[in-house]
Amino acid sequence: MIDSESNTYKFEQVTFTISLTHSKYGYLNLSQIDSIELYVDSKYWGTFSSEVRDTSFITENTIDYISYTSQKTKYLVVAPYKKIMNNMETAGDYVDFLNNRMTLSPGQYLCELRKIKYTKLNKEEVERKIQLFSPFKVSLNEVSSYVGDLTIQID
Amino acid sequence: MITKKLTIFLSLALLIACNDPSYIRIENKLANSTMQNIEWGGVPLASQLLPGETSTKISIYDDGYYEIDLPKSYPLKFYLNVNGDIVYLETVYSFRLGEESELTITITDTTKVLNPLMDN
Repeated sequence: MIDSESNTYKFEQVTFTISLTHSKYGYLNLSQIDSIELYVDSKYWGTFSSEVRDTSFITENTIDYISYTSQKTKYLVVAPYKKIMNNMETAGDYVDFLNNRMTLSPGQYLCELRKIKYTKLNKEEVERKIQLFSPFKVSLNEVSSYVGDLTIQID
Repeated sequence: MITKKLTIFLSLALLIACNDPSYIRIENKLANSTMQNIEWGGVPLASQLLPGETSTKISIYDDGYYEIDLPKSYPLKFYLNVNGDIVYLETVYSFRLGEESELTITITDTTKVLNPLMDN
């Protein structure tokens, strides 16, 4: 695919750190957040997993197969824009893809987290629908932008 | 002598009568999308078609300039241009042009297409 000549901006990814908290027990102490669904200005950006961390040494208690700690546990998420071109069968599919693909020129944008998934110690998968917005800025000639340190309260 | 002339005349008449071209044209029914560099069997049909536009008829002679031995089937090949972003596409199915016939190929949202690089 050839990008438009007017699209000289090659912004590629957003990064952020994320923490999950429980109102009673503190920060969730997971090895990884399995899945985070991300949107930028209401357009689907992609679904990502966080980095894997060994946080076993800071576990203070375990309740309902989830480890908790009072220390803020942050997970890094690197979210490159996913140009998904699967299941393209018709001319209409390609038109929709090209119409909806995102090219972020310099400016202000709103990042939205809509759904996360993580796994308990008993291998049970947990899915939570959330709505967390955070603004970020794309500057000229930048390929990556840091959204910020985000915190989600699970319960 | 007369027979010979008559034979030559009839042969020429037959040759001319069998040399009518076939015609092919393209309709772009894709919303908000321009088709570019459209070709069929190596025959350039249109450099650009805006949404809703129909190309002029292109005449193709059997075994003529483009060396196509009609009837023949080929897929349509074109660039799809949406807001300046371009992707190369081919129709999955081929279109048959017969002898001394007219073919109109309409490309719509439901036309099955492929990009050879992605499909591999």
